[in-house]
Amino acid sequence: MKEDWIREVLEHHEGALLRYAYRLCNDLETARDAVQDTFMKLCREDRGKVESYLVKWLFTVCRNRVFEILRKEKRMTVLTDVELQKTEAQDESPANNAVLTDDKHTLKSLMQSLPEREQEVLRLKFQNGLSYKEISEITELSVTNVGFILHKTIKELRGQFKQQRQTGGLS
Amino acid sequence: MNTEEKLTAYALGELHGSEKEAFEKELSENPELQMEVDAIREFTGELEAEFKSEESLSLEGNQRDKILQASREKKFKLLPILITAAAACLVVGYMALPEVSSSVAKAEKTRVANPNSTPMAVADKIVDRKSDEDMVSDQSITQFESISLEEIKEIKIEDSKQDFFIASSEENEKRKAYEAKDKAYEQAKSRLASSRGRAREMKKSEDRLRLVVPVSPAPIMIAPVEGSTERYGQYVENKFGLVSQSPLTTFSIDVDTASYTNLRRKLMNGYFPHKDAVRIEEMINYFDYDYPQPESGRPFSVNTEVAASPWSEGNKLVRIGLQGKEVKVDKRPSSNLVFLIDVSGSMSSSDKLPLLKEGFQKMVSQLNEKDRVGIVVYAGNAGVVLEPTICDKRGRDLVIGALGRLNSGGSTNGAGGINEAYKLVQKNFIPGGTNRVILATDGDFNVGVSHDQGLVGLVKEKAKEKSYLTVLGFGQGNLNDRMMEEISNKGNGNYYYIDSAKEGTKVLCEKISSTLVTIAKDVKIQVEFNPALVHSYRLIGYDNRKLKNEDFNDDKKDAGEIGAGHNVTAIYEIVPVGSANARPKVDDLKYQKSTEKEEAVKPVGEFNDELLTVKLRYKSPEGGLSTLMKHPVKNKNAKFSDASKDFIFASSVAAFGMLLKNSEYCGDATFSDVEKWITENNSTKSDAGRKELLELVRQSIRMKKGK
Repeated sequence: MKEDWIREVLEHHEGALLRYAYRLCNDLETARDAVQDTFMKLCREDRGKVESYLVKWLFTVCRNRVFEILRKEKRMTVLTDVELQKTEAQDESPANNAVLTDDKHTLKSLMQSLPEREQEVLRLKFQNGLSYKEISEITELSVTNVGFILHKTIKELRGQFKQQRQTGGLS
Repeated sequence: MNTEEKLTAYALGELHGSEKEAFEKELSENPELQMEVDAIREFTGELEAEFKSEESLSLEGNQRDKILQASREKKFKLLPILITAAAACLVVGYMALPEVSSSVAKAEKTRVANPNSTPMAVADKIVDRKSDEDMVSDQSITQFESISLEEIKEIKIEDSKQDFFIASSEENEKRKAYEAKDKAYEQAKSRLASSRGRAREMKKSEDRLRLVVPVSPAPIMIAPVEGSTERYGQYVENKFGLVSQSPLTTFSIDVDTASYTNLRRKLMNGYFPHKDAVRIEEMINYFDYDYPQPESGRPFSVNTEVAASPWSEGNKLVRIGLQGKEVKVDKRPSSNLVFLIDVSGSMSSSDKLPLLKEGFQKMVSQLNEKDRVGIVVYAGNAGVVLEPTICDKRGRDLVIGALGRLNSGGSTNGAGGINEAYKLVQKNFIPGGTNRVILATDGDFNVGVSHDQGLVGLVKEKAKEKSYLTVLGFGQGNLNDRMMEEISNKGNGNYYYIDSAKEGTKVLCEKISSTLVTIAKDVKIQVEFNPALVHSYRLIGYDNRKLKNEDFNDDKKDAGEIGAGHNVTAIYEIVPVGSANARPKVDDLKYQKSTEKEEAVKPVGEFNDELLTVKLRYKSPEGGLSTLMKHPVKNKNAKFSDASKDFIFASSVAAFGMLLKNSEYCGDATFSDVEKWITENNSTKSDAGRKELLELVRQSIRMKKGK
């Protein structure tokens, strides 16, 4: 039954898609709408046709939908990386301004200081376990480019992470 | 791929076949490389763990239901009809039908209409433009079928009587209007689809739907700044209006200053503000100008000045300045205040709650036994921290102590708190006094009771009962600027943004009398231009303060209030008749007589030395009937450099604002020009605020260069 299939796909991918969409647009409602639309579209697809590349299909459609919504709402504004980092960092620590010494938090803030494209590729790789090729198809970057971005980003992050461990947290 | 990149690729399992084999051979010979691979894997393991630890998100229950419902439905396909190029060119299907489904279709599809068919028939021939879009299209129809009748009414389909028309150049304007409507429908659709029962969503939709209503002033849309949760209303800048077509212009005054403080914070941190966060009138009105006190019996004086525009040769600037009557602090009426303080988790940072406490404590120390203060706090829940207390010596200590003990934590439920606060104000209402809720928040209202419409309605209703609202915005990153402005506007209030202890002192202490004492309310300004001298005009700023001309004489229409000692300044840019800028931008029309032509206008012939007349309407704070004041402005040919210091300063601020807004109307002005005007004008010496503005201009010059 199609319903069962959809239910299953929903269970498996809803969370990951939402997190991905949310990071693309920074607005939970937009992300939810995009994910809903993605699944609505999936309902009308031929299961046999999409099943073999389902994950890639979901991320591609969802990504396009997010950008479509943003475009329609003319909410696309260029955001400097630093600004993103700042607001993000602030949002994440609402209740206490305690110094973040936890490794995870440090790593998190490091990741959030990356440019958006880098963050997206990183997320697709390490949150969703997609291959270079799948990432390339979703993001419309070349495979070589994806490889390069991942390599460069991991290298940078490792360097910074190491440094921070030595100096003991974010200054 | 170089070795390093290969290393990463290998560690991530991205090398295949012979490439992999070759690399593995290299690895076995080089233990260092192997260690590096391990290190990469260890690190990426941490990355994975990090991503796993992220808070999980889920769809709303009703969204999931909708999806599952759709999965049970049989696929249905619309009959594809070929769009021939000719048909698409000839007839643009901007047809409107009474059914909502068709409006939606309009948003998502190009419709091909046979001119002979009835509207209903056309509706059946909806054609997919691109198969890519079918996801949106048939889905949108099912979604809209579920919209209730009330919601349809709210959409206010204005065009139900319009028939389709053939697109031609002269219809461009109309078409633009339709396109704007289409956009609104589109946005409404995508929102409404998932928003049934979700009050917050409903409000968003309404905001967007406002685009549909042609009479509303500047359409306001929520435009979140990407990456930050700050929200600003999106304002369309006022355009030049032709005197021959619309000799009248009407707007409501605005004495808010939040926009300036907010953009000051941004610039000082090295960012240009979001352009929708720049409200020029609030920048101009942040500064004090040296206008004379009103003659007795009037709540304010009207001051006008005319000089050449420094940024568009040939144009003139007309400044209209209102000066509110000063009220001595000891002469101010008794006040009944309730501080409504947001103590949610987001308020904890040093630029919020601590700053807020300090400001309020300073303010309370200036109050006396005529005054009463109560404190309500809200986070997840709302509660009265201090029942209204008379501010004699002992009372002041009580209030200051209670403020000092406030802590932050939890989520935000603004609506619960505001109800409580109004209740307290109402309970201790002082007739003829100042009855006011002072809301201090970082603007994060997004938990709990449907905030926007409900809240705005409440604030409006309380204003009718003479309990007003002042909004103080704190902090950054979370600021819901648009909503704070809207609720303070509706509540006959002021909205200040406090970014430093200094600003807190300025608003809460130095401006205490003007903040607390309203001397006139519903102040509206209408300007009539003389077509003999003025070709066209533009109001700088006040983009969301425009009123319909007929609202000027309608005492039921709400407008801004003015406090004791406040000044309000508005600047018009005008294009004089006969100036090079007055040439029409389009060719003469072939089939109708252009109304843009100057000979089409018949000036009365008298008053030929008058550029314009400023008309003002205001009500006394307690009154229901408005008073009219008229103030004609004579034509003058003063050079910009000969204008008064205040004129030059205010115009420079206006130009600065336009530059920050990327306005198309700032002519050849640059940040450096603004700097020059302000330094030459020399009025910054004795005024720290003006000096600071000069610094901001210089900062902008540096930032622009750095880019």
